[in-house]
Amino acid sequence: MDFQGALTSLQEFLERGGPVLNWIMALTFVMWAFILERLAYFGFAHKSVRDRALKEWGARGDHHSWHALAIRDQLISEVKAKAEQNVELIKTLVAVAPLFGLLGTVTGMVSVFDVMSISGSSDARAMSAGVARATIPTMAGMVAALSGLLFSNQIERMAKRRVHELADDLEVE
Amino acid sequence: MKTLIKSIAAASMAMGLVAAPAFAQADREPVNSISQLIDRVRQDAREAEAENQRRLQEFRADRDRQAALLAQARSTLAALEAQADQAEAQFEANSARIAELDQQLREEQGAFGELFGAARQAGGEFGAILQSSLISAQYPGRAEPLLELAESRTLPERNQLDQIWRTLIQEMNAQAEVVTFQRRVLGLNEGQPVPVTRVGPFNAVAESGGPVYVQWTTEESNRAAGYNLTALEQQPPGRLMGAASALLNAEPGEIVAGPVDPSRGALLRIYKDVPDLQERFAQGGIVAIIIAVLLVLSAAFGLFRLFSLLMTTSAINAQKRRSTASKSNPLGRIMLAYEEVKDRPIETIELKIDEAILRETPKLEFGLNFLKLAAGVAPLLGLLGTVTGMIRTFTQITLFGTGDPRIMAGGISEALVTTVSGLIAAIPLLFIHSFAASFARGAQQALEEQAAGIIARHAEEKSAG
Repeated sequence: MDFQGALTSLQEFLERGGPVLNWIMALTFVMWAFILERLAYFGFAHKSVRDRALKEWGARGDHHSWHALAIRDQLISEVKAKAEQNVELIKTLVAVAPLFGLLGTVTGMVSVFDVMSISGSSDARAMSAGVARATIPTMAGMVAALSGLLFSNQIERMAKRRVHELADDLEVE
Repeated sequence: MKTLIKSIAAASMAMGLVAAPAFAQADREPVNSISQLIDRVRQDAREAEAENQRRLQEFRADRDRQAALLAQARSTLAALEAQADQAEAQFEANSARIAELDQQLREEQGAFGELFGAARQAGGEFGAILQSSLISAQYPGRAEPLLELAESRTLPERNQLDQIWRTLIQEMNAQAEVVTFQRRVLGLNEGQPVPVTRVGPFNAVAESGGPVYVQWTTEESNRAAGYNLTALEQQPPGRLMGAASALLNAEPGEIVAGPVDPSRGALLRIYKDVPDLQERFAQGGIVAIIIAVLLVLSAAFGLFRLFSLLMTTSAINAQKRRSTASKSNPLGRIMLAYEEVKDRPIETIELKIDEAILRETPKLEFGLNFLKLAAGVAPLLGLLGTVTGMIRTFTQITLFGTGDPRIMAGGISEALVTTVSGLIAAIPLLFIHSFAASFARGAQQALEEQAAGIIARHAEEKSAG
């Protein structure tokens, strides 16, 4: 694969989209880092967290006193806190992505009107750079939000189900 | 014969008059007889006859002489006429020759006249190009001889004609070069020469501390002061400055990605007209100021809340591991509430703990709703600015028509800048709210779901130990 060519075309794309596109790229990168972190947690780490809670519960002799119930709640809550970590952040990132796109739209329109006020003309060719700056970030923001949206919902549901399963497994006598 | 008789009559009459003295003289020799008289008459007649003959001959000779004179005059006239004809023919031939030579002269000079016209035109046009060319900064004074040539009324000389193509070739050659030369630049280094690197005729960068884009000056006053280059009033943004310093630091022969302004300076000059951040913000009007104030206040408050929630969370986490309750954190206070009632029945304990939790949780949530509100209101304020800006635009369209886009630019700028401000304010506020809310919820969960467990754990440890 022509790495240099791909890099150049990426640079051209970022150039045409204007500075906001860099922000969207960074945002998408962070969002996907968190999404992958969550997927990795549920794939690999969640099991050991759950097993530790189960083991602690199983090691107790007493499974019905007020103390035991309070400790059970605490175990569930701790696992829940681990499972739901960063989920809100991912949702926020998903919500912010279209806002960044909109920001790009408006800054692009600002540059269109800059061209208009400097050149005093409405030459479509002169304005096309600004229009590209307006439309590309919008599209990129939408794509980033949509790609994140599917996973953020999935992750949220997954966290709830895992916590629920754990609560079922910690049996009260 | 008639003439003869007349002349005889005339002669006899004249003789009668003239003859009187003769008769008088003849009277001295008297005529003695008729025969003598007859002789004398005959003799007189013979004499008259002879006289007449002589006169006749005299007349005739005279006539012949006159005729000869006439003939001579005629021949002279003919000769002169011939001469005149010849002269006229010569004249005509000469004037034809003159016309022919004139024509030839015109033809030959016509070609040259066109050449000189073309040379003047080329000199003028090329001189004007040179006068606006960046390359003239390196070779000052190239344009003036060409412009003089264009203005002059006399025929150009050969070295002047040579100057045109020599300068043309020099210009063509210089357009392909990237060279550095020392030159005075207006506004740099107090008029001392600085190294200027020129990229063809496109743009030039001076080195004075850092890279400084310079432009070919068009003002006569600067030129009179000996400056051909001036520093740009507003330097272009960072990316171009980076490229410029790469250009300045490049080794000879090294290939670097450098700036090229195909408009020969016009594009870089536009940066003067592009409003900077402050000017842009001013375009947003009062709505942008409101949004900015909102952002500053909410962000300061949000960061403060974020910091205090962070402290609370870490204090709670520290308290989880310690069995001795501290009054300085929410979990510790809940544990203290338990300590007071730990010997009472479980219902009382639960009630007390719930009470303590209820006392703590509102403190954690304090201000979060305000942050959420601020993050939601900022884009709405932006929208408000958009609409007021559009109202201004349409007012101007109503007043002045749509002829000049510049008239509408003010309102449109306001609309766009306020929208941008609204979004710029909303995005960080959303993030701050999101972080603060997740910290608050973490702490809340710790208090509501884990406080009882932690208390139970410590109680069991105590009773076991």
